[in-house]
Amino acid sequence: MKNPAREKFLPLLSPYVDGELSVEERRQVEQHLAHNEESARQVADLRAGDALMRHALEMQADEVEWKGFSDGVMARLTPEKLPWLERAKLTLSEMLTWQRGPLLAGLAGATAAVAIAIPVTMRFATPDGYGATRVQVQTVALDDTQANVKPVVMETDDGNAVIWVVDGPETDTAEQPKKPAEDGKVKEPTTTKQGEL
Amino acid sequence: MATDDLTLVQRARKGDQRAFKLLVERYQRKVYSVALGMVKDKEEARDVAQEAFVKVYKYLDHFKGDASFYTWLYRITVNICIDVLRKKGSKGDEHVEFDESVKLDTAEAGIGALGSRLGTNPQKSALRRELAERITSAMQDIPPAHREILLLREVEGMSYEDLSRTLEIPKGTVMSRLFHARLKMQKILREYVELDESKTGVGSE
Repeated sequence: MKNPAREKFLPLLSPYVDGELSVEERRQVEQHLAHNEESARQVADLRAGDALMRHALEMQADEVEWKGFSDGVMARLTPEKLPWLERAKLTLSEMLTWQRGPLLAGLAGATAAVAIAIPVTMRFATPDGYGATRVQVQTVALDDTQANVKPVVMETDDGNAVIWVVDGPETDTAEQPKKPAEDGKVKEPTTTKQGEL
Repeated sequence: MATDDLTLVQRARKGDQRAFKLLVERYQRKVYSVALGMVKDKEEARDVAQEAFVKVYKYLDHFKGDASFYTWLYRITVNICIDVLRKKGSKGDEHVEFDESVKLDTAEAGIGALGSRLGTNPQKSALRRELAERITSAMQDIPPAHREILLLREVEGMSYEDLSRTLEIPKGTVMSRLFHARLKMQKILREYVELDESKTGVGSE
């Protein structure tokens, strides 16, 4: 035997479960459910069926390897190539949008490195030509062995030369190589200098 | 805070591919679930999901922004699924006539079969691979129009308003179609429960 109240409320059970009824309709349905066991069981079934379906679909989606999915989509996109200026603007815009943090951190780091490097470099800078690794030192002998001075030529890679005139030996003892003394120590040759370089 | 869909769409329109990638990652699971419910085959569902995103990107300029991005995305997904089913000529593609104005035979719905026998706690009973596959399979036994409305409601939790907009049907039709679709699914699931009970000898939880 048909129940007229149930016939009336039956179409409202699904929207009731979905929360799509007005406050008044909802109140009426709840009153009906309180007195009609069949409708109450049907509401329970609707909820159970929904939950089952949702979980089943989620389970299936969990089994998918999503790692390369978005890359696969992006690989299939073939946007029209923009002019280089547009591309540069877009790249900058993307960087400022998506990588603002790392970008600012990078800029700050680079600024700090430059700020430290400049004074350090200036402090320990070597004068031009002095101590350079590619300078070759040559001595040039003079014909006049009696000369008191001796030139030392430092020739650089670019063909320039730096010439020093240094004091030459005055006595025979100064020409003798260093020899270990009896106690094993090296004695510095004693030279009489007329001047310093 | 996550960037909203419309902002990402606007950026993607200007050529920002990263913005579009975020949209893909945001909706990939749900689009896949809808596709799987429609076409059943997992590989095919994955292909449909990718195709849907590619199509969305291609027609991004056509998106007016007067409706939600996802309603548009799902509409495209469902249309691709229907095309796939049509090409396959599967039985799910047959246009099953159903009159939603016909009064329901409440006895047919098998009232109480699920709520009391299967339980409402999916953690206990539904999280079984066999049941999940049975449900996905059962979806193929209902007409595509019922299938799509059920999927959009259950996967995305779309409101009746959104369903009406996405499926381009009146809100009253949404209400009745959804109810019919649910009753059909319940009937199929009830048969599964009865089969399960006869196999295991368990009457209830």
